[in-house]
Amino acid sequence: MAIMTLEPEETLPAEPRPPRGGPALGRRIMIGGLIALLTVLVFLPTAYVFIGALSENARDPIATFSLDAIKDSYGNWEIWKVLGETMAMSVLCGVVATAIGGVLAWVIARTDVPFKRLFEVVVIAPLFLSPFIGALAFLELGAPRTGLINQIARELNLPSFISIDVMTFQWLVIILALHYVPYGYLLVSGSLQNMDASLEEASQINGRGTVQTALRVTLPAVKHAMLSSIIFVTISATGMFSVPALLGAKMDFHPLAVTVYRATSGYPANYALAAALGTMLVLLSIVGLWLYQRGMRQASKFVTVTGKSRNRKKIELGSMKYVIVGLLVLYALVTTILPYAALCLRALSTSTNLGDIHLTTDVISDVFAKPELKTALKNTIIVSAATAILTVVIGTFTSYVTERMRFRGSGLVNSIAMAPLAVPGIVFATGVFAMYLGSPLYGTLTIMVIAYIASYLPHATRVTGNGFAQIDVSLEEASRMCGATRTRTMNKVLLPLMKPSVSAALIMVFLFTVREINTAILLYTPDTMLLSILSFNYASQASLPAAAVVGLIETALMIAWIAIAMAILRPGNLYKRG
Amino acid sequence: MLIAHDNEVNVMKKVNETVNEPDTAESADNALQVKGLVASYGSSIAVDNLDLHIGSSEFVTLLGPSGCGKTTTLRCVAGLHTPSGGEIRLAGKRVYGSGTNVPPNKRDINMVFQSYAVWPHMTTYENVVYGLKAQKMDSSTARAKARTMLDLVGLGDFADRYATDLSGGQQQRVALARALATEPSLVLMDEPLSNLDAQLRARMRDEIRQLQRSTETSVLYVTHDQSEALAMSDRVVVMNQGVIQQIGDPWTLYNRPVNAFVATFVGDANLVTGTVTDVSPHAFTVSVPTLGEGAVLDVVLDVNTTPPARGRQVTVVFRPEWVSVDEKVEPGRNAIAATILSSEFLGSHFERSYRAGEHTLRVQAVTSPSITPAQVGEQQTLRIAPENLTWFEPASGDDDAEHAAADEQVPVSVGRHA
Repeated sequence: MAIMTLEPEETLPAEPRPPRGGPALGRRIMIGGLIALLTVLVFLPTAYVFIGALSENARDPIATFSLDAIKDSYGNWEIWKVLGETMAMSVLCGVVATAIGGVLAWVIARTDVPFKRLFEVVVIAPLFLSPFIGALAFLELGAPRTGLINQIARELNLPSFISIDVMTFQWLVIILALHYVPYGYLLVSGSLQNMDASLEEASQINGRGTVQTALRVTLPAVKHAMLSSIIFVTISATGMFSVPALLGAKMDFHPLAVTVYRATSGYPANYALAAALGTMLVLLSIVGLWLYQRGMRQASKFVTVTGKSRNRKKIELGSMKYVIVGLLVLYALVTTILPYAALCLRALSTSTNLGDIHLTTDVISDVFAKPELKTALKNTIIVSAATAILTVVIGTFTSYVTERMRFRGSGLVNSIAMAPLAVPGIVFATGVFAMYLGSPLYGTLTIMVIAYIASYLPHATRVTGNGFAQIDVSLEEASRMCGATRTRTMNKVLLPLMKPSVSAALIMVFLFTVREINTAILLYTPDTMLLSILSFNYASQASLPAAAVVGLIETALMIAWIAIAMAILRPGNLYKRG
Repeated sequence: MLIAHDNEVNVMKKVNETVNEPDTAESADNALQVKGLVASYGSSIAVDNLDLHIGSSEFVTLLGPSGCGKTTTLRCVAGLHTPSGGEIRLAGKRVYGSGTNVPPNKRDINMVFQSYAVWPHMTTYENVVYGLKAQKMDSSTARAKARTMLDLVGLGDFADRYATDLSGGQQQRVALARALATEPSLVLMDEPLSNLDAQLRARMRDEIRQLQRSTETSVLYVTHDQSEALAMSDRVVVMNQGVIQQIGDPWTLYNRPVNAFVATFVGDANLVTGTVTDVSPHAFTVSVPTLGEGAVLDVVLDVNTTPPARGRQVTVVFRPEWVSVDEKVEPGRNAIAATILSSEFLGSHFERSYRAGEHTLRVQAVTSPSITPAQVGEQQTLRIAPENLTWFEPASGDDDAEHAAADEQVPVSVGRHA
């Protein structure tokens, strides 16, 4: 599974890529079209976040200009406290997720741990569980009194430290971090696999042991990947609203994203305040990205990785093997098996009191009987299919234009396409909301697709961009030399070679859209109900069994999409060039 | 011991006759004509006012160090880079210049890339038939043609293999077959052998040359490897910093370089500069005090060359293998006293450097088993036959290169390492 990295575009050495000849008109149309598209999809909604923060009615910003919202947010000491706590939560998440993911990546890439392929799947399995549904499952397991683990502990008279309370700050961080572990794993393992084996071999020959080598040679070499993982997780966790809204319901602590949501869902809804709070999140993300860029510049001297990869000797774990397998099994248990078991139990039983479990399909048939489920299922299928296809088309177009038609400003265009990374979903939604409020698009599925496309454009652009970067330009030039037109070259050479990365991007966007809550929560109406929103609403109405059933349907839909995409596209392996 | 050059001298005369044909014919049998080509990347000029022509069935090589503009020239001809001025004609038809800029796929050319650029998602056969299909050739003819090309490069049995299953040399052959299949009026080759190992490179060199001859294709070849250029080409164009230094057949380039750059880039060379003291109709004498007190070199003139005027500065060039080592002869005219600085035994000969006056001279000394090899520090006499010596008058632009060579007192040998 491909993922995005935050690394700045790799600068090619010495020889400047020659500008391409050929019909300048077609080129100009493509570049102009892309800029127009990105302006409407990404730039304007982001601008509307700021406009919305400064006016009472974003459609008429000058007449209704007001600094009230700014005063209530930037001028409010309480909000700064919330901001600080939010940052503490998300940075902790970033560090914990990256540390766990990094260690797992090292174990799987470098040691002779058995069942490597299986454990690789196990490690990235949480990707397929929506974070909200995951949190729901943890609530089933570890709610203060009724949680299954706590019930078992009570039943067996186990010591009190076995009992957990997931509705606390530390468990919020742990649950969020566990959700993000696959990102840390994928980013670091990619970097580990690219690393020249001889760097580590040289360290061992110079008398350093396994641990010393890992800390002194491997760690510095993957530092940039870890940094990008921490920043990515931090930004993403800052914008995460569904999980804290669920687990933090009884806490005093409400992260900024939840505060944004409350501003819009209260009565009367204060969209200006939501937008103003949103600008704080955007500015925070920008600071994070700026720090990241700076860190990259300093870390770049460590980036000695080359494309060389040969069979390296695996580190022999010896009897440590059992400990590590045990920990991996525990990981699987905590992140996947127990949550799904809890969800299934919840879905198949009217009660989760241990003494009172009766297996029944009543809950399931109840949920299926509700008309809103049908609407939500249909809408989710439409929205996720439309979003995935359009996002990948636009992302491929963006990366083609910026990667292959180098022009003045192509770096800027690429940054605009990447910008939604810095804008948390719920904030971006306030911008989309302000921009389309009162237009006929408001309250339709189209507006959700528009918002989703922008949110996942960075991912699709990065994945397909990496795909283009892996295809040597000479493969296209050779086609032109054989007398093929640009179109024929595109159809016969470029697109077939791009199939693996296009499939990866498509599957990724499918997964993200099916489970998306953060953007949709501001944009949905009863007619445009989605599965993810439905489960969120059920959970907030405390009908947890229904929420669990919807969560399971969501997972089933994700798996169905992957199977369909694989069957149609047959991505196969990346074509490796000798 | 002196290596006999009699047969080479004969070759020289023969080659010179064929080379001296006029460069300017505008006829259609010119596969390529380039006039006043200027190409740049941003503000840096990569190719400056370049003129070039390739006759039909001719194999012409652009040779030069990296960044000399040879690949840019090739890409301009291909249409993959847009020049900023000049004119390019393929088979008499203008493809660039005066407002025309024919796109690459409409030019009657094909290209072999350094990375081979064999499409990994197609079989060997599909790769070769690709260009034929683009020409809208009917499918049975195209199929037969592609099969013939694959047989020609010896990959007839590999038609259904995917390119990624082939070795580097085989991929190279696929690229060749693909380029030749469309029967273009000119095939461009961009360092096609640089990714192969040394043994395979030598074999492919031979194969490409034979294929080119048997198909009578015109080829514009780019390389930084001088031995490749010498071995394969009908004519070689030596380039440096975007400007052509010398055009000639391999024999002329090696034996009669026109400036210090060509002399040192095409093989190893010893360059010494002196003053002309005496001129006769067939020879002249140069005094080179930097080679030792009273050192004097006689230089035999080639036919139809004007000798330099008395008192002029000239640079005299001799290759390491043109020098013979003699202990019995006393230093004198064309015999220089020199001390061995270092000596490497390479089996067939010794690679030695000698100190003579201010110069360090590179010499290939051929010895026989019966002779005890000389040791470092021994003094010997180096003889250079007057008819082997070549010369040029240093142009103002050459000064730097020449001084650099004299300062280091080691002949500059760029481009030896492939």
